[in-house]
Amino acid sequence: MTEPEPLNTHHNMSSNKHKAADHQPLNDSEYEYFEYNDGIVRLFSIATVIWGLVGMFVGLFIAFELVNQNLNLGYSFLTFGRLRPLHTNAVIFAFVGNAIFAGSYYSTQRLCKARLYSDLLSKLHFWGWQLIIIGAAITLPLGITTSKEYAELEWPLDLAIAAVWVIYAINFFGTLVKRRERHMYVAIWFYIASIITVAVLHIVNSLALPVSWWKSYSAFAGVQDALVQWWYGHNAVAFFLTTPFLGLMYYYIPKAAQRPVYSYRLSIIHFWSLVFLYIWAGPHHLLYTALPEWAQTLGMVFSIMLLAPSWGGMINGLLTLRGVWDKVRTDPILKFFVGAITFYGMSTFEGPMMSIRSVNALSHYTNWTIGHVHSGALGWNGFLTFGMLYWLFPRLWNTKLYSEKMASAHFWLGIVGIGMYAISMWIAGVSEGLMWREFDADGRLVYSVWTDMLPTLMPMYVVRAVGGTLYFIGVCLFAYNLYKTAQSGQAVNVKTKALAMKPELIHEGDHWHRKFEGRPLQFTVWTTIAVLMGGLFEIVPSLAIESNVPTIASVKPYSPLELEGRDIYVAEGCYTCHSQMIRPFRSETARYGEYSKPGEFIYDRPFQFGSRRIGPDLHRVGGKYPDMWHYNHMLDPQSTSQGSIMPAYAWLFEHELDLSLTQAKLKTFQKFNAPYSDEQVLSAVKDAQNQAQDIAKGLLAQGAKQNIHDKKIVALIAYLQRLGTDIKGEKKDK
Amino acid sequence: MKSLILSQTDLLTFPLISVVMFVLIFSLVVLWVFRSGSEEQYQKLSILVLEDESPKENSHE
Repeated sequence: MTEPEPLNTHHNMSSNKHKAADHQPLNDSEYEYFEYNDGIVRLFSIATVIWGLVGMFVGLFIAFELVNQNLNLGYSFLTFGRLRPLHTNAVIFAFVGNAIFAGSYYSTQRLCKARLYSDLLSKLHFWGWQLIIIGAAITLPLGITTSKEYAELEWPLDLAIAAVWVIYAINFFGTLVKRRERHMYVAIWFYIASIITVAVLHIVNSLALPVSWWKSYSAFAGVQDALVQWWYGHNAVAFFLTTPFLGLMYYYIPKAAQRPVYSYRLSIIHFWSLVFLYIWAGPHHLLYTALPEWAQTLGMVFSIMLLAPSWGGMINGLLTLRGVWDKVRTDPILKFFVGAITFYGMSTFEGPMMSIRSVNALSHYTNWTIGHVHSGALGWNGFLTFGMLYWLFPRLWNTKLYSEKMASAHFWLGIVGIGMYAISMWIAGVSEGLMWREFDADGRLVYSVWTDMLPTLMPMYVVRAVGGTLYFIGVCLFAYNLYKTAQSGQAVNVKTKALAMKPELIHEGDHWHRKFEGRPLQFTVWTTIAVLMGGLFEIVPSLAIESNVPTIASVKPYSPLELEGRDIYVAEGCYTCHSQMIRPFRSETARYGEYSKPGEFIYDRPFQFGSRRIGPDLHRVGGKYPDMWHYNHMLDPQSTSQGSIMPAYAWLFEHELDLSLTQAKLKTFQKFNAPYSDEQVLSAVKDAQNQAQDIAKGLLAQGAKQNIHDKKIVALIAYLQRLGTDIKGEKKDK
Repeated sequence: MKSLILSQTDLLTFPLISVVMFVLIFSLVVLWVFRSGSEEQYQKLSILVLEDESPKENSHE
């Protein structure tokens, strides 16, 4: 176990000191005395633990919901569709986010030999971020969501995120400006790239027109929205889950191992290659979709190239432990770090492989993707955070870790848990991918009934839930261990001293890049240019050229009731289980109907391609079944689909259909040039009511027990019956 | 104007330009990083992270 560094006794040396020391002896008056702001690090560290418990518990709960769909106990806010976004947001932005802030604030202060720029900004940053998380925890289960994955929060919270992120940026860059260390260590480079890129991604992907306080429509539609979303989604993985953690890796692993990084040269190549390449790879989430083929190829090629810098970083991290491998056997912190880097290596190998079109044809929409992201999230992000906090807590509370044995037990529970999770999902993913495309000797789909595949998958869902349970038990041990550690110590702020950075010494005789590394502004500008290249080459052409999305004359905007139904579809999180994108494969057209065309989605704000098929694709479900089928299916899915794992949506039959915003919604679409006339806007509510009456009457005639003309379910049925039908109109016209 | 230019550009050029740009920048960074005489400098930089807990540094006071 690495011993905590002695506190309150540091006399930090800037590298400029070495230069100065060559010329003259130092005396005490040349030093500046200051105190690190470790209070904010403690707050973010505690928040990391608490939100980690919450986010992972929600994940575990929804894993069990796939084993038993009745676990929601009939409550809307406990359904898989509503909780899945809460799980992803809580783990990514609450657990990982707070870990980034804790880790970067601690390390940046030490690397810059300076206290954080502003105590006030630090507090605003902390409390602002926690309020946003609480806002997410309230709004997402209530169905207030944009449905854009990892960007589900509605516009007021999006604005709050932007504001808090700016506060973080000011506080971070302010610290760089007042630093006493000339050189910006490589960890800081990764923090800079993360801060800048996340800001750009968040702002662009969140562009939307509000309809009310809690409803907005994306500024982009259909394929373009999908491209922007996955440019964001992929790079949220890149610049929120990867680059800041690489920064943490470059700081905390040398610290824990008491060894300098294996190759500083490699870290420079790693950094520039990664920030340049990562941003281009987003379209690999949209292979074989309606996205232009050139953009798909671009995403695939750059994803494969990404393997090189990723493994460069992994090798650099692992080889930093050269000479101390014996410690890995006994030191739980190093165990976690080795585990984290290993999972990083595996995930960054698997990701590029899954980006190859022929592999992606099998893996996309399957549990394979779920296994992939969880080996990265639980292994890389989880383990690195655990290792970092096991290292940090004793130092922040000036004590020793409460129990090394408990930390080791946590490690092994985590390893076994991830193993069970990832392996079960790989097996499930490959199995279902193969079942989806299996034809018999007569050319018919072997598994034409979706639920026929579930008996094969269900054991894997059970194993996944058990693996998740083991991992969560480990996290509970982790939280208890850290709580007892903090309880046994006392919170301290490290007082230290360092030489001031004299401007005249900063650039004297230095190589040009050395000067460059010492200039935060220029460095930031070039990093921004590097990461924006991908956006310029990838998104701008797609957004600027109308021919990328050829219009289909028969595709019309949704009726007011269908639009309301679509918003209910979004609110319930149907996209978390159902895609709306039929790929151009024989197996898919045989199962679902004609493959999806870009022009069919031009009124879809946001797009609903989805990323996972726990249930079948719905793009051509319109007209496939009678209204009565949908009525029964939503009330009791097992009555129409024996063996289905979809929960009942009884509340849609109880909750009143709210049409108070319908006019405003159509007006918003008018602003997006949707061809709604002013008359249609004015009569929107009446038109919606008339269509609802027609559907309800038809259902009553078919034996429905309830008149649903004023219930939410009627709008959802209207929307589902519209899906994918416009193109049929085009065929009739021809 | 922008749309006109873009509409008259072969879209396949975008991925090609991007790959060429990456190879160029990557090559430049590699050449620069492995320039002669830089070994010592990088060794110094790599120990920055350990400086604030070096006993020698502390006793240096």
